[in-house]
Amino acid sequence: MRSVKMADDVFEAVARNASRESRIVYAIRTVLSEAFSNAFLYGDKQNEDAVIEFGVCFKDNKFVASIINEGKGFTDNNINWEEFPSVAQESGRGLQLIKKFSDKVEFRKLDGGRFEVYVEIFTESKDKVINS
Amino acid sequence: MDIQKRMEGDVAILSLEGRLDLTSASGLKEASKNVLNNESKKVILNLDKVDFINSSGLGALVSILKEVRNSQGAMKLTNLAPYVKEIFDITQLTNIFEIFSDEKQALSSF
Repeated sequence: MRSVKMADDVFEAVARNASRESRIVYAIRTVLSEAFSNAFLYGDKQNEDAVIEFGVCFKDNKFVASIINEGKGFTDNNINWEEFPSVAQESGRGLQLIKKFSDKVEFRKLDGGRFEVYVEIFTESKDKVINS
Repeated sequence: MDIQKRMEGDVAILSLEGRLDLTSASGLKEASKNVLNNESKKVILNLDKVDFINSSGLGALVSILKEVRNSQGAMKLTNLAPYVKEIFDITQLTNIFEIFSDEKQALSSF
């Protein structure tokens, strides 16, 4: 699956150059996995020929990622960030996991019918992620 | 994902190895369905060697649990790595899954 391969490749490149603590690396892996899966499943409607653009970098003690798909996207006004989907639901947890593992998330509708998921993860915080 | 199956009495134990995500979710659902239909309604999924899980993997587990319950069976999870357990905690799926630290405890709970 192309989107998963892309997420793997990006993550492996990040992990090779990161040498961060394992929790931060796991947070990055989770966010990339969810963002690429989301782009493929919902943004590009599982169209393997659709374009997924991305950029990642470490900057000012932050990991920054931008994943752009060709979908219409959504506004986060409709998302209840305080609650995960009902435990009986089989889908719908990806965006919440991105939010939970990130320090900053933005969903942006771009020109040309594209949609961007932009995330930042602080890479120096030892207590980042969960248990809150 | 590699899936090894064995029987302990009337309980089917599936030992999973690898990542549980979009690429492996359907394979796990299929394997579990086969066990449920042909071998046992009592199932343990040992996640000891699952090093990564995402929302697609969680969705697969929820789907399997529904099938198990619909067939009047029972499913337990064991040996979750700390980060995998953390994903269950934050998604509140610990409320619907029976999770044990090892197979022995899970087996004795049936």
